[in-house]
Amino acid sequence: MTDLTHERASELLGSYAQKALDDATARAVGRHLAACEQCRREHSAVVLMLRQPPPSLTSEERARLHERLAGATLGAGASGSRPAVLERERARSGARVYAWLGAAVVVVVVLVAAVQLWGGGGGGAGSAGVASSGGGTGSSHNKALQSIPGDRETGLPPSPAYDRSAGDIEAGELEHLATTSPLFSAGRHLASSTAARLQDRYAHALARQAAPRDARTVRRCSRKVLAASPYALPVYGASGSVDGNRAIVIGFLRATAPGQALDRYVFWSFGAGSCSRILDYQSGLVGR
Amino acid sequence: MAGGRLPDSDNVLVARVAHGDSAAFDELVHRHEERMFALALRMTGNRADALDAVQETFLTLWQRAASFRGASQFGTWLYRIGVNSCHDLLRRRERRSAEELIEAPDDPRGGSLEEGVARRLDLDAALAGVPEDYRQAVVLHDLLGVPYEEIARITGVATGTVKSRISRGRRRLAELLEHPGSLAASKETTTDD
Repeated sequence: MTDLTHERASELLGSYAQKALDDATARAVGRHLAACEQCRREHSAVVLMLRQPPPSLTSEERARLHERLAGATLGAGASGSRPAVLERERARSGARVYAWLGAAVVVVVVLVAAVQLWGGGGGGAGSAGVASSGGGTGSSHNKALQSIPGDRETGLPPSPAYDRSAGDIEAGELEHLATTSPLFSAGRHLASSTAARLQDRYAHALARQAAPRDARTVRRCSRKVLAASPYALPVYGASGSVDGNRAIVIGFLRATAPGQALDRYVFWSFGAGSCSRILDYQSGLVGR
Repeated sequence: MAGGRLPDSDNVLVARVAHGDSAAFDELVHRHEERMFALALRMTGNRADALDAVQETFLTLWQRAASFRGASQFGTWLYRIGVNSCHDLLRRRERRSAEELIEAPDDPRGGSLEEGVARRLDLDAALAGVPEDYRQAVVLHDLLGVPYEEIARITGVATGTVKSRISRGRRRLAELLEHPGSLAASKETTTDD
C-alpha cells in the first residue's frame, strides 16, 4: 500500500489502535506514525482511551435512575400501567421517614371547602364533588377557613405544622395517612382536569408554608414531579430526614388517566442530590 | 428456536412509547442506559452529572417519542438527545470552575503518556479539559465507536468538521494527559476550520 495522507491516517487511527485493520493498511499507518509527530500524539490518546474500562452504572446508580424516571412518568399511559423496572423500586419503600405529619383531620375541612370552591366550577366529568367524604357542613368549612392561618387559596395546612418534627414516621404511618386521612379522601374527588389547573397553586402554597431554607427545595421538587405528571397535585409536605439525611417529603395525589379522579397516592422524598419514591398505592391499598 | 419470539426492534418500541406504553419505555431504558451513561460520563466528567444527563435523555425520549420518524437510526436519534442533554447540563453548570471538575495529581512529574497512566491519571478529568465540541466528537467516535457520518448527523455539522474535531480533540487530550497541570488553564474555545 502506498503512503497514506495525513488525513487518511488520522481517520484510521481508531481502527489501528484496535488492531482492526488488514496487515497492509496497518503497516501503512505504522509508517505514517513513524514520520508524523502529530499522529503519534493522537494515537497515544486513542490508546489510552481504549485502555480505560468502559464506565458502567453501579446497581445503586441504576436504581436511582429508575426511581427518577418513575417520577417523570407518573402519568404514564392511558392504562395506568407502570414500567416494571419502576415498580420494582416501589419495593424499597421501607425507608424510615422522619417528618411532620399535617393536621390532617382539620385540614380536610379546609380542603373540602377548597374543593367546593374550585371543583364545583370546573371539575370535569370525573369530579364527583365532596359530599361523600364526610367533610361536614358548609358552615364548618367557613369556620375552618377563618380559624386556620393556612393557605386559604388551596386549603393546605398552616406553616407551623409544616416544619413539625414529631419523631420518626414509618412508611406505614404515611400509608395510614393516605388511606384514612379525610384530606386525601377529599382530594380523591378532585378530577385530573382540576388538578392540572391547581398544580402551580398547590406547589406554591407548599413552598410558602415550608421553613425558609426548604422553600426552594419544595418548589423545585414539586415541579420536578409535576412537570411530567399532568394529573397530580401536591397535597402534603414535610421536612425531616430519611435514612439520617435531611430530606423533604412531598405527597401527591394523582389520577391514572385524564378525566379520572385523583385516586393514587405517591410520596416522594427529596434529599441532597437524590429523590426517591417512598410510597405509591391506590385507594384501598391496591398494588401495595 | 422454534416458537421463539424475536425481541421488538428499537423502532417498534419507540413507536409504542409514543402511545404511552410504559413497558416499551422500560425496555428501551434497559437496552440503552449503559451506553448513554458511558457517553454522559465522558462528556460531563463526573458520575452525578452523568446520571442527571441520562435522566434528562430518557425523559426527553419519553416526552418526544412521537417526534421520532425513523429517518435516522434510533441509536443516532438517542445519541443526539444525549449529546444535547449533556450540553444543556454543562451550560447550566458552567459556573462550576474547571478546578472543581478537574483534580490534577499532586505530583505531576512528567514522563510518557504510559507512565502517566501508571500514575492513574484520570481520563475523565482530562476529557473535561477538552473543549466540548471536540470532546463530543472524540467520545462518540473513539470511545463509543460511532462512525463519522453518524456523528455528523448527531451534532449537525459536516463530516469534515467531525474529523477535524476528533483530530484536534485527541491532540488536546494527549497534551492534558501529559501535562495535567495545564488542566485548570485549559478553558479554550472550539475553532472549526
